[in-house]
Amino acid sequence: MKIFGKIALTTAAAAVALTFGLAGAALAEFPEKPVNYIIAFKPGGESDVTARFQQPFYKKIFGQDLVMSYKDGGGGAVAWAQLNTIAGDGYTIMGTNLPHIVLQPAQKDVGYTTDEMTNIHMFHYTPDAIVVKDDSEFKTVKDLIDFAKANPGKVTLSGSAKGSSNHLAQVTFDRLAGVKTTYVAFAGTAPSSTALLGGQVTASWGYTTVPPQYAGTRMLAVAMEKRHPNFPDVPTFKELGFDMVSGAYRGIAVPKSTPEEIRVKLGQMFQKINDDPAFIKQMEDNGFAMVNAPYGPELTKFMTKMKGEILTSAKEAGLIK
Amino acid sequence: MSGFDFFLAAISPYHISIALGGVIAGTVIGALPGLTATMAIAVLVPLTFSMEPASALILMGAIYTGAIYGGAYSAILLKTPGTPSAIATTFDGYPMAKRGDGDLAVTLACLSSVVGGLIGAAFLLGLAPPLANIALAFGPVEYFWLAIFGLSLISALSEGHLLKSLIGGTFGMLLTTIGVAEVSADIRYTFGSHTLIGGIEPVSALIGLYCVPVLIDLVATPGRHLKVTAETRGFRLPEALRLAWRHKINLVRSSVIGTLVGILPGAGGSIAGLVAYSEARRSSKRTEHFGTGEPEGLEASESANNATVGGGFIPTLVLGIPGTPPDAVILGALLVQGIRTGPKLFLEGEGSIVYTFIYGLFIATLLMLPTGLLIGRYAYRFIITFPKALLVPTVAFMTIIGTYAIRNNMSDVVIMIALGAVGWILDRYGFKPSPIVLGLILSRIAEQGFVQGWTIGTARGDVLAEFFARPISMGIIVFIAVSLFYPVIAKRWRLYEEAKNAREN
Amino acid sequence: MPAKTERDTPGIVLAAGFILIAAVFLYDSRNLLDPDSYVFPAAICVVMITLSIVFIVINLVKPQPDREASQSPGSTARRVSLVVVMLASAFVMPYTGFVLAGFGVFAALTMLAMFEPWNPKRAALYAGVGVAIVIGFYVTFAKVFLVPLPETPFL
Repeated sequence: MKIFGKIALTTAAAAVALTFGLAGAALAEFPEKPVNYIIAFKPGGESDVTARFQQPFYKKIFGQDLVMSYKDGGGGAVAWAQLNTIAGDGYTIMGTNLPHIVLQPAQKDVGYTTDEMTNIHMFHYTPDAIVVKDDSEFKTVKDLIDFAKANPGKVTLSGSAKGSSNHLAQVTFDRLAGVKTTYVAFAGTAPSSTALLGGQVTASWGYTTVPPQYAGTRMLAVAMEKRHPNFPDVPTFKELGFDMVSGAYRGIAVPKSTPEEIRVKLGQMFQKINDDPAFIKQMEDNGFAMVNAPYGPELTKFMTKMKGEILTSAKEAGLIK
Repeated sequence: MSGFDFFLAAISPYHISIALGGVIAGTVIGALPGLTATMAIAVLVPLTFSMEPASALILMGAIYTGAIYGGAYSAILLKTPGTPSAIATTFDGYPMAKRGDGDLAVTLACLSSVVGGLIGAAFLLGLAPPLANIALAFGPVEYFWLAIFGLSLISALSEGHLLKSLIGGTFGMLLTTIGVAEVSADIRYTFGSHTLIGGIEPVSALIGLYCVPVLIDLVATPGRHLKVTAETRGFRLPEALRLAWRHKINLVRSSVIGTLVGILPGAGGSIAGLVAYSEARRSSKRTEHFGTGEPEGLEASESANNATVGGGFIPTLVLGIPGTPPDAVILGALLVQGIRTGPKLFLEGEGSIVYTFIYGLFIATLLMLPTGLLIGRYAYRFIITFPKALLVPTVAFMTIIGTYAIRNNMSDVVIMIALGAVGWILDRYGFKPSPIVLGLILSRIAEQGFVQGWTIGTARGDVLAEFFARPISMGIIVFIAVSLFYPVIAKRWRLYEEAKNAREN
Repeated sequence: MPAKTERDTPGIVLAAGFILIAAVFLYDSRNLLDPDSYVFPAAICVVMITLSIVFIVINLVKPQPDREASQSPGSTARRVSLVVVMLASAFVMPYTGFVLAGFGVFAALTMLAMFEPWNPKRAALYAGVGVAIVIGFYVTFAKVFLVPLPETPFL
């Protein structure tokens, strides 16, 4: 009797658990538990720091934690190659970066392709910019071009590693302005900006995030459609006659096994953070520029456009065939 | 608020208790190979959002400083640097433990770390804005030469065969080139393997090359891991204090070196320890004893690496340039809290956060003395009394989970074990692990400096001048020459003197 | 000092191995287009090959045994088993989850490193300590440091 009772009890408990479990999956509000946010780089890197800005807003709006973990290696390729092997329940998301996820698979076999990646939001970018020291002799882009024309190859510009958005911008700018400059690649924006501040290079291809973080630097122009709200005095390249809008874009992706409704939901959630005025102010104060491309037709359109642009400029730069 | 008020804010019971908790947690984290200060701080970041900025900084600083000290335990007792900063600690710390002086080594490491930490924090307190310029004075070429300086230690460390050590060093350097080149972003030497795109993670290589061979030899024979002397001698604190006092110049010099190298964002704790070790070895009267359990070597490494904590905060807080990897995470947390780093932070009136934090760092460093001695004693007793049949699986397990945790990647674990097995074979036939490790750690810095220096030099039209004619470069080159040839000259000189004395007698 | 000088044959073999490795790397460099990517590694390869050749020539001309090469007394079988068990655990862990694989490795290595006779009391004690250590590591890493360890639904 006792044994029978036990079995009955267990079965009942299992049934209850199952019902609740199923009902939970269908009805309850996603997310019910912390979401694991995989950063494809080192802790303290640029992608980590920007994700940190989202963390408190996520918690505030959705009442759940966003837990960071790091899967550094191969310039992000190691993590991205493993994305689709992860369980697609929406509780694991991964940060993605442009131009990386377009350029890497185009250059070599890295274990993933751009189209296999299910991006669910692209939320901001750090526009490319020419940065100089405060006391630099160059006041405008024209000053720099004049100097570069008089001294071909002698102008050195530091920037993030080759194949980065900085590097593509340098190649594009050289072509549009008809100058020849030397690109000095560093292992990220911090060492690149350090080299600028230390006077090791003439100027730097950096991002709009550089002046807010490194005192003593200013920008000559930014690669945006319109001027950055935080820097109303800095012209865009477009205004100066150079048709370039570029930068390092960040978003998130999920494993491809993730159900459609969760993809949509996650896209909306990150859009909600992006819509928070306090969040926008914080990001813009730090030099970021917002992009609003949640999962759906908007994102598809955005990605197609970006992919085309990146591949074109990479071809011009001789990075891919 | 005046300076004294900041001091009072720092010694509030709340701040003292978070400093104490941070130091203890940090020490334990540092002692576990693979768990790093960077990771621990990254986990804490969300917690600090709800704290006062100064308190958050004290907590993160305390963990950081504790973790750097904790790295000494595994370096001394298991020959495995818990963090790359403790590489030079293994050179003399492990031989000391092996011969039965593990307790003395742990106590001495604690004293040295406290001295180093205090000196580093003192520089941060008094001279941060002017010293930050050092971070800017170092260009690619200077980093290249600094890495070569570190590599020159290979010749000094070659216990047996110089050629074998040099070959080992190049092998280590070649291993780092696998994967994505950090600067040119090219995938290279992966031979079609997707796993190798991630490259060989330096810390996991360190664990493999140092710790796995120890385990391999441990299971082979019934003998004890470390020699145990008959009587238990407790902390051996008076003995350690006497030694530290006798080597006070070494401690101060190493701490200053540690602070200065810590200021260099491209260098890091491993180079600080190595440079200080190299200098201690050169200026010691017992040069030939280095590498065989010489307390001076241990002191140099441990004081220097803890001094990098204070040193690393200098460019972080003054320029917004993270001095070390944990500083990068701390800087990120500060940005989210809306704190702008910069020289203004150090001005009177605006500097409340910074000064409260620096006093907090002093307190955390001082707290390291009692907690470090106590934890160190238990760690040592644990290692010597734990039966071998449990010690081996525990350590093996630690290497596996620690390596996995660095990048959450199981391939790193496989590479770590494979490197360990290869390292054991190489060691067996005279290719020691330390030169390989030096190659592994320093090659990346050397390559970046080389490629960038070359590019800039070509643009300026004079590559040779770029590499050889810059004042700081020339200074480092002189140091390289001195450290390479000084032992030879000193030996010749001694032989000459002895011969003269013999003739005169 | 040994009176008879012997050739350092293992050293020569390993040096030849290093030459081979460097040669393979050098050969693979031809796939790289950007000088920034291959100049430094190629230079290292050349240095490595040169040093290894010098080492081999010196040893062939004037044999010099390496007295520093360490002796390795004890059981080779246990050494090899240790490496095999550790490697196996890394391959099995993604399928069994961390805890289960952890119990297995711990038990296997305990038996490998055991040089004293087993008795029931000792076995029970060691098993208890093993379980506690594995669980302890799991909790520390997975719950405190939020490391996403491999997990299976039941553990």
